[in-house]
Amino acid sequence: MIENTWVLPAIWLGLALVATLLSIWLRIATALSEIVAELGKAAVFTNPFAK
Amino acid sequence: MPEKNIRMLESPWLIAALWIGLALLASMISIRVGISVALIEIIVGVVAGNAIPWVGSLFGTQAKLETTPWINFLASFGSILLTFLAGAEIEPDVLRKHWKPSLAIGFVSFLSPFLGTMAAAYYLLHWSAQASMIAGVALSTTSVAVVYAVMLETGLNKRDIGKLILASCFVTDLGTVLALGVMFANYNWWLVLFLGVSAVIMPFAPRLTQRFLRRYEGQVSEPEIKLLLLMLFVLGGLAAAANSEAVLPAYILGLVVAGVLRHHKETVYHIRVAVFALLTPFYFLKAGALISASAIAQGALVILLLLLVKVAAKFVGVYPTAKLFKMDNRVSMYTTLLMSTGLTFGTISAMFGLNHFDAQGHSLINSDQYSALVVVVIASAVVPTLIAQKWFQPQHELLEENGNGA
Repeated sequence: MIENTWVLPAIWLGLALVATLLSIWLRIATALSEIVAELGKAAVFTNPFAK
Repeated sequence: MPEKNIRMLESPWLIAALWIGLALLASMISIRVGISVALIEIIVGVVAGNAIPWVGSLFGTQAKLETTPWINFLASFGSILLTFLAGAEIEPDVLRKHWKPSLAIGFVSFLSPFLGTMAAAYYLLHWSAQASMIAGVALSTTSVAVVYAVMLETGLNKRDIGKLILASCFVTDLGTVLALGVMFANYNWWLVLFLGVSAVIMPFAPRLTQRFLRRYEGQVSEPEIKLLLLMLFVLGGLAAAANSEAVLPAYILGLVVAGVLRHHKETVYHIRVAVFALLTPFYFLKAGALISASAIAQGALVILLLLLVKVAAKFVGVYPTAKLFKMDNRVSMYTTLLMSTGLTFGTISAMFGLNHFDAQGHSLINSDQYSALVVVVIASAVVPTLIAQKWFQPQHELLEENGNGA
């Protein structure tokens, strides 16, 4: 399923949408909130026990 | 070839520069000659796709117009966004006002060439059943892009006849997209999930989009466009997982939000700029580059036969139906000829056939069949349009238009 062409773009675009909404609500630069959203994704999806 | 030169050819920026250079050339030619840019991009793609290997062979290299995974992605993205925009062009009020003639004309305009070309491919050309189905779908279409451009050029888009023809195009293409989705889908749980998620998203899409537009329109970061893209990707991903085609939900989503987007022309304009400047050039150039010049030369008779069957089948279906709704001879001919055009969905369907595989792992159509189908699609975009514009333009509609001072 993850090989499906549209899954990864959907995840990235979902994150971009979250970041955009955050940037508007918090009145900060979209670029900054996109970095924070990406960090959040990394924190959720990265296995802390992996070397 | 020296290793450094090989590495240079693998540079994504140089590959991108070549493709965008071709897109720029196509745009300039299209503006100069006044022909749809999609058509010129396909033709430039055919020339580049066949000339680069030939020139390369003169220098003893295996050069070709490189397609990479990211080019394939941009091309697919372009096709679904273009399909979405085509759906969003339909005004629901027009569809409601002209529902009887547009449903009748649009339906026969799909069914007649679908059955006619499928039968010709199967019985006369002895193509496989699946290749014949792809031929039927690819040649049943009507080009919204070509028809819309002609309507804008002549001013008929403001008249009833123009609106009726555009609404009929929608019905025809819906038939095409549904046929592609239904005939080649995997009937499994992915399909159930795709239909379930679509049933949830589609009814809420207009209200959600409206809400985003009211609240966020004008923001540089364009959350409303990201929302639309997200819905397209999620539905497209589920459709692809069900082995259907991502353009199916894109077209329906476009129609569903058309009523909302018609009041937000600037947002549509922003999407259109991204689509035509960045995405569709990759799609149409690639569609052209996959056409083999030698296959066209060898398959000239096949191309002629399929073109004749497609146009004849459109005449058999559309002309009498137009007369049934009391259109005069000239308007009936004009409607029939414009409904005979094909471009975007035709190439999308042919590309679908080339990129999808049957249970034995063979693509649904081979590259010769692909070349023949796309050439027929291109010819059907040009020939009927020229004849309609030259000899059958509905004069009284235009006189009425000028008389109104519009």
